Amino acid sequence: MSDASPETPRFVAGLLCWLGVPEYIIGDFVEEFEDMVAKNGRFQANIWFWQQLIRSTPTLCQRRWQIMMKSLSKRDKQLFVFGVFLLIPALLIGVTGILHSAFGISAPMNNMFDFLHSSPLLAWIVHPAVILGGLAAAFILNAVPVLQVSLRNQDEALVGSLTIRKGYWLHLGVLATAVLFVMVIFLYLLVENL
Amino acid sequence: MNILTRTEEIILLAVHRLDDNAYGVTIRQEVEALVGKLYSVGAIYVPLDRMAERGWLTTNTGSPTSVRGGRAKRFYKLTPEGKQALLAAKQFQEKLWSGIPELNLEGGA
Repeated sequence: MSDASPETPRFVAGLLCWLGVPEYIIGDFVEEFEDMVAKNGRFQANIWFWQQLIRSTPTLCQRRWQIMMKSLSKRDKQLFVFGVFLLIPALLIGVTGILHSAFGISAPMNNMFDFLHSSPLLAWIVHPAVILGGLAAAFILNAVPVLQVSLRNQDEALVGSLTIRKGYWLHLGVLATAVLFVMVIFLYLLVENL
Repeated sequence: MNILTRTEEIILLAVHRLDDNAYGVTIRQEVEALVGKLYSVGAIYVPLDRMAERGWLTTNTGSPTSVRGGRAKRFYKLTPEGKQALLAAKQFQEKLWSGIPELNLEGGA
């Protein structure tokens, strides 16, 4: 994360930045983390940091959502709802394509349901296609409103929500290109398996 | 009348107690001490933002300190409207309890 706080777990701190948590809240995390390191040692402090992240994520997401919705005009909200409706069939097609590619079966949906029925629960929950599908859905649902608002308002907090480390932030355009690249690979696999 | 929720009341009281030193970490610690329950770092910010928006709290950003990796603190202060809301909550509480027979834990009603 920040060079000035090298001891905080980088992955967790990176997640906080990605969640769009403003600097003053990250500062609170860092202050308490450093206090915890001094009192209980780094191991306990790391555990505390993870616990705080897990427990704080729902409220921080709620907070981010509220801020985002307030910054949207009526027209933006209409576009957002329209975008979500467009996303649903797109996601269905995408996830089906991923499952089709990964399972290598000719009738993906039917066979997928057969597979789900015939396999133990854990076997399909940990299937890479399911994980990838979930990650893709989560990413798109998260990225679309952020992209929309940040491009429109050049809002620092929202643009900074994709900060990886202080001074190093992932440009939304680069991210979108990477996602498109992955999608092209999946489409290629889908066509190849048809 | 806009009645405070219990969480809002506790947080406003914590801010009032802390006076000039009310920021995320101290507010959370004060709330934990008052309630005797653990709160996550993020948990207090949603009500804090809401109350700031309603005009019950003002915010100002302090100077960055080395303790926090160079990040500034956001301080909160009660506004006259916030004090009014707290007083209203107190009066409401007193009104609720007025005329109630003493609760007896050792048997009986």
